Amino acid sequence: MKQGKKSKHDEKWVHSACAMCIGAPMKVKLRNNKIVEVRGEDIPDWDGKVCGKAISGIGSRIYPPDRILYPLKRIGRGDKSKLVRCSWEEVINAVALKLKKYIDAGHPEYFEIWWGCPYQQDNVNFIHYWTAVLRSGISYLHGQVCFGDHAVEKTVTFGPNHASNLIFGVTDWLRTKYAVIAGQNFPGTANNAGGSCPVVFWKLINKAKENGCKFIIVDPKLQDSTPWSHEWVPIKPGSDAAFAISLAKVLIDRKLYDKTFLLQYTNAPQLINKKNGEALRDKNGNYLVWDTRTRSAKPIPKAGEAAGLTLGVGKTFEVAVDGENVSCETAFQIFSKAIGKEKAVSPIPQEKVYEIATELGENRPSAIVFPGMTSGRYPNWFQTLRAYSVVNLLLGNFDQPGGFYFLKNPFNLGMGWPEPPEVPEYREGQRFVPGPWGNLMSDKTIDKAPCYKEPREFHPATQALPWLHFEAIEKGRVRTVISSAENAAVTQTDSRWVEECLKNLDLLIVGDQVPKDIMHMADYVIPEASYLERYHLYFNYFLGSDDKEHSVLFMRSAVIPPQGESKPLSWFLMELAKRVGLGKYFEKLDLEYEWWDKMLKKARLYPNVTARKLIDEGPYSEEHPIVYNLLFRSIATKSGRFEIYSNELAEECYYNAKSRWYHSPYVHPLPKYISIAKPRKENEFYLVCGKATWHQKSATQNDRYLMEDAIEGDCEYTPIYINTERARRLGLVDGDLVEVECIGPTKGEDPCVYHDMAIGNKEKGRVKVTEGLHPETAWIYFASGHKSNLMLHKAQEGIAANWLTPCSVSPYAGGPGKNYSIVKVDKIEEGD
Amino acid sequence: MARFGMVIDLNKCVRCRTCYVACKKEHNILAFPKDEMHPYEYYRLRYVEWEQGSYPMVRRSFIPIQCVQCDDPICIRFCPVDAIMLREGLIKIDRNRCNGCGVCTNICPYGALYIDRDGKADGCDFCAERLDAGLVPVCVEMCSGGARIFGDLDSPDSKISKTVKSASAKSLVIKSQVNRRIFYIPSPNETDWDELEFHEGFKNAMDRRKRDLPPVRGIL
Repeated sequence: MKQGKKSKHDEKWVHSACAMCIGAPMKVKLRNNKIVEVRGEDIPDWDGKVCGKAISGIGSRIYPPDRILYPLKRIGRGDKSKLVRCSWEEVINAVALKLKKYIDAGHPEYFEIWWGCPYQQDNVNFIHYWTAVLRSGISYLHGQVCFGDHAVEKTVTFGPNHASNLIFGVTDWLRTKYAVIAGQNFPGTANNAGGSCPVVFWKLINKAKENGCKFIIVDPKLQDSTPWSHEWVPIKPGSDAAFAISLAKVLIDRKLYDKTFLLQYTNAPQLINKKNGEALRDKNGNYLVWDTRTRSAKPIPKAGEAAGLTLGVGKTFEVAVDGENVSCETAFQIFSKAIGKEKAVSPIPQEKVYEIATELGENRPSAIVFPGMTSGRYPNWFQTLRAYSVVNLLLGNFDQPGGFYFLKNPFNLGMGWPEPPEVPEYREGQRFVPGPWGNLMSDKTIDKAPCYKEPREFHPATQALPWLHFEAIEKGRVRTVISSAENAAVTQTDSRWVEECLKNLDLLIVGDQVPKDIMHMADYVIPEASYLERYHLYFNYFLGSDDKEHSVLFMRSAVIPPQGESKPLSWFLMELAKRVGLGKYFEKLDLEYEWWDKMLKKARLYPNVTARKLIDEGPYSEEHPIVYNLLFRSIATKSGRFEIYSNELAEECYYNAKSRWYHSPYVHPLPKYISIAKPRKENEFYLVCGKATWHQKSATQNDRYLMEDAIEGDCEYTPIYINTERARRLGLVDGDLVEVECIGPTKGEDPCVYHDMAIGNKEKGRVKVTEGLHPETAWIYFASGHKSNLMLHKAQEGIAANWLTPCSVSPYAGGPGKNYSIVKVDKIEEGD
Repeated sequence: MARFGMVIDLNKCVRCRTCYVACKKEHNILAFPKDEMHPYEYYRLRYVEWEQGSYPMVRRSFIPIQCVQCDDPICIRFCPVDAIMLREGLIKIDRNRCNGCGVCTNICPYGALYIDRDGKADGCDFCAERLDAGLVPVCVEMCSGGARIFGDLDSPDSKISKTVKSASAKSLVIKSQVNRRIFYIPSPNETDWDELEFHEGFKNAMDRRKRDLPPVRGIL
């Protein structure tokens, strides 16, 4: 492709990136400066391809008929209010006035920026820098809903050096023989190749399938892409931990675990006090193991060493500590005993559990269990993730052929923040701690303060603590919010409560290209430049179908000017900074090239790789051979090993009398199944919300191309799905109008429920009966039932899940129980 | 002259809808969820999807459907204004002749034709303009899972010829329409492929689509 060279038809191809789900390097064809076509870059494994979302993004976010091209302000009050066109000057003045007022009063934190999608978003690093300078609040609200609790669990179990690869379950697919995927529309919405776009992943798993890998999907719903797999195993919502523990039990009972791996790399041999369940330590604080050669306890050796260690199956060890003999068992033994006593009945028939566990065990280490990202999200999710991780540890499948793979060649890009003397000093008096996407945040921010107090309330790997922001608005501690590339009005649980909170704001400013729910409450709507009208450096690290590890850098460049009066959010924020007298921190910044060049310098790629070259010449791509070596980095857990028994949970939470979570089963150092509230009557169901392959996030929710087949096709988007037999017993048939009322869980039913304003909320929907659904489940697609009358009429049909979902949170991990809803479904007459 | 054909490997299809969106964009086909203003569907390519079996032993079948290029197209035989013809063995609709009466859309047993926003019949022609430019159909180029194979069926060395010769590639026969241009590789549990047209779920899915077509307006 010749860059920048115009054809006789005034056509040219330029390099940029897709932002419609996970960023992907993409070529854009311009004709008379208008985007007419997109294709994937000609690099492995895109090979010129993009998916339907990338193609539809041009029509739905760049040139849609309802593109927001001018700033809008709300006039009037209540139902009679409306948004009318105004000038940028008017918006900037109004917002700057508030900001100045808060700063002068010593409360810049009253002003917050909420961001959601790192790909649809303008420069995420700049936004964090801006809030660091202005000392205002910031929150990556979506991050916690998406993967924050995964990040916590993986950090707790595997340590921060190994966690990131495991969140999305990067797998050595070309050698995998057996894969059990739970809680997800697999492969449609999966990303288990690495941080890559679906085009890469689908190509890879098709090869895995050709190689003979068998895929088993465990989910309440036979989802739209699930039939690609070999088998669907339905599961009762919220019972994944019981399933995982049942698998572990079979693996242990049948000795199908990898003893060598457990002894070398995990704390399975660690000694635990039999009496109180706490880890045994010597006077120097070392965790202990039993050495069979000396018949005595010794400090746990570093990962990789196993000589003399034992799993201590069926054994008790007497260890002298401070002159007293303490009866101990290994972590492996107490886990084995605990699951032996587990009262939870497997949610899947025992013979099926046996079959799956046997396949896993016999194919280890080329077999994996992945917990998914969507359907299983309840307050017990953290322990569910722990249980799945322990199954994988039993299989010994980390950095082994066909198992999970740790990508070893990411670029160390940093965050590009300008430092003095380039800008005046801005860090004074602030303590910065790690934030999302490699950024830093003040430890005083709402998301970070609970994670850095003693003892911690939430783990520092949480991405955000969304409910605390809404509570802060209620209490007047947050008064103005800019919401960009996120849609808290429907994407956060207990949306009615969220909406009530938002009403207390002095100002709500919403930026985007197209209408979305939260605009319905906005005081100002700002027309943000789209992803193809501004600049951002992105990276992808993945395993390719060529059996190599790939590290790719690419620039999302402005291929066309911002449409109408739209501007990047960064421009708006810099204008605000100028008005409040802080312009000196921003005046010399070049957000198009230099910001990214600074990151490339940190990665030691500059000047071979520059932002300009990435735009002119296309992506920078490195290939590396696959290397299995899980000790490529030290295991940074408390024991220095992957932890079946979590020393962090034990010391920080479960056995810490000062902890908010003292003796809470949700933070027990061994994975546990914790039951959730249940539907009790014939017309009561778990309401579960899932994502479609072609339409899975806010960016696609007002999309004509993607909505069309979803609504009109045979995999309809807007109905509420009910199991055929249950529907028959309730006298429901396809197309029946039903009222769906949230009846639980209440605060009284579950201590993890923080807000239950959703109780009593009612939505209407049409029934679709299906055989492909667990009978206790009523199922809807994510992001149907939109509340904004600005959006496509069809997008407003159906049921909005978060209006029927109370706000529940998993202790310590901060995971939102985004599927934790019990509903009552009743047929109503047309017109009711 | 090449005899172009296509194989769709349903084992590789992840049901991502990329072919649908790519086709619509390529041919500038109206994309709008149905409403009062746009009561019908507009597509060259669409999907039928249905369930078989009962809980928990259930499967969801899924077939992308486009014009299968019948050997003896019924749409040509019944077009009252002779607007449909074969060009190098592929369906071609003369938009100047077509009066949008809807006979072809209603009579096609595959439901593969539709009336476009200009009131003209339209359907898949393997992206004729792309073929002229030496390109493959856009659905083939963009298929994320690599499920679509396209090429010259008469070329013995082509990937498509070799694939079609394998026992697993089957054509979709409805109402005895012989077609030897589009083939599918069904998934192993799709054991009743040859009887598909008689399957209640398939018939219902096809019939449902028929309801989304405009009625026949009369012959002239």
